Amino acid sequence: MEKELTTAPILEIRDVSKVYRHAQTPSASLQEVSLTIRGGEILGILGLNGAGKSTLIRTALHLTRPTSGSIALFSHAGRTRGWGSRTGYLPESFDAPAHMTGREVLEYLGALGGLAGAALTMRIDELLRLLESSDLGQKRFRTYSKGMKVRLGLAQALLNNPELLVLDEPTDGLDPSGVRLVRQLLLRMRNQGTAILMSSHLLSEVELIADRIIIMHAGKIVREGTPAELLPHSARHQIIVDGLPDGAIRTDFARRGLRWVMEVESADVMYAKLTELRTGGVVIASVQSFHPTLEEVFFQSLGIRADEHTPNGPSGG
Amino acid sequence: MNTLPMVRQAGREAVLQPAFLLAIIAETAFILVLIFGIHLEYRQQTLVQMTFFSKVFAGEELWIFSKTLLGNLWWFLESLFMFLFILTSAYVSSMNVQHPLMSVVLTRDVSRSAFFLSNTLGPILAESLNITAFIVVLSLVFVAKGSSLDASLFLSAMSFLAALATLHAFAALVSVATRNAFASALFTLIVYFVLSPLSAAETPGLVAPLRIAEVLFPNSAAISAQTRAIALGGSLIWSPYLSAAAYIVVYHLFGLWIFHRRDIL
Repeated sequence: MEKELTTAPILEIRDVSKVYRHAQTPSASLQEVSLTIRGGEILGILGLNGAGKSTLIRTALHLTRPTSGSIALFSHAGRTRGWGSRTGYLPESFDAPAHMTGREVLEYLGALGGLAGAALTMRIDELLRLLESSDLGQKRFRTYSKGMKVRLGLAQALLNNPELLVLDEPTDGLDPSGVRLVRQLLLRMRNQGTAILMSSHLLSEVELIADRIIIMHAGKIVREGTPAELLPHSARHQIIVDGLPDGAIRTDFARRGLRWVMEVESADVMYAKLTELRTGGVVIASVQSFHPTLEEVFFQSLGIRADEHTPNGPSGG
Repeated sequence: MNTLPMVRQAGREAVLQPAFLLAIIAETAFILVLIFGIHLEYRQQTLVQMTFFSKVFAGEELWIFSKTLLGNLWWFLESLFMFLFILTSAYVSSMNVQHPLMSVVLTRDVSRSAFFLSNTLGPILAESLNITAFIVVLSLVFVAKGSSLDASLFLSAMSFLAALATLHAFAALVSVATRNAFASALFTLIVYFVLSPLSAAETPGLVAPLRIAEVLFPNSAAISAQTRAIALGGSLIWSPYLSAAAYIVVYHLFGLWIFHRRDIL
């Protein structure tokens, strides 16, 4: 089933806010979030726990009602007939009745998506093969490992060969080969014209496959752009010396273990500082240049130094 | 049609509930007792003698014993099945708020109304099939023992199911309002086993609160009394059923209203 490549917006979210009023104090889970995703595009969402990623996904799929703002799916506000068979969704923790086998789960959800008979059987076989999960079909859900649950969740999301695929942590619980398999699958679907909205705590995965990335914090989008736009081209540099030099320049250094390190943001500044140090007779131990990673950009966007943040890292929310 | 797989799935969930399985075990035990423990002797289509585990009843003693046995047995079975099916219904209807696949199902071409009503209809159909099968087997056993086919048994089963459908609608409403299967089961059991009989008996001193309860909850005791009366050959009075139908509609509409406003997490 080859889809027509389209660059028309598949999902448009405009100024969507969500305030949960059942809490003792109303808390805003989303604050005036806007985004658009088109066919043949992968949009990655990054954010810490509670950033609002899952709320955004559920709101986009009309599972959660926005307090304000508008959502248009396939150019229609609200749910329209046939909407469900054009959309695939993997929730953050895919769950199914414990007594059902993988094949029964897929048959049930496939039937709800309008598939039946031989077409459904063939599609299930194809997906289980594609996800290298043929053994999942006969096993009961209660016996599944976390990785198996994710694979079954992915299979059900792909049942209808959707035009919009919404994945909340699609690689959570997968082993490295599973992560690679999912990456290849998503890239193939993107190339076939599927719009993919995914949240992930694996920053490197998002960096590898996303065409655009949004970084969320406290219900807001704090950064948005292509990986190239988000990752600065200029490198960050470190001048490392063994002993703390004399003079005013000493205040630029910070102790790292047995050595002293000066961090500079541009090559021009680095050369100027090196000249100054050499003129002062300081022996330079080494000079290092670093290209910022998405992780650094991510924490920078949140106003946190990457080495300051230890608990859990970015993940569901 | 998307509703059928959901109804089938909800029915399947009901059948797999321990309470439902207990009901099947109780029915099987009852039928076995009937087959091996009771011997009936008819003359010209009239029961003249009953042997109940080697004790023989005939004449007036037979009439008193059969009426007492049937009345008490029917009351016991009705209470037992109602208890077990309320537990089943409360759990299955709580799937409206905590079904493992709910968020995925609701992103298919499935409306919230269809999902909610399927989770109500599925268990009711499963319970109806179970009760119908039980009554059919019961009738066949009676026929095999020489009795003629008795339509009152079927009517009585339908009456039981009417009461059950009302209570199921109530359980669905409580579960969607409280998001708690236990609360749903508890409140529904209280309505059936406490409030409704008290209301029917018009207990002195409780009149004012009971008047409120009579408005809020269906008078399932009136239907149960009808169920037993029909089983014993009494005539059918429609008013409790019409009232039950009205309650079913109101409970479902209210439940749907709440469910449509819920955020699916």
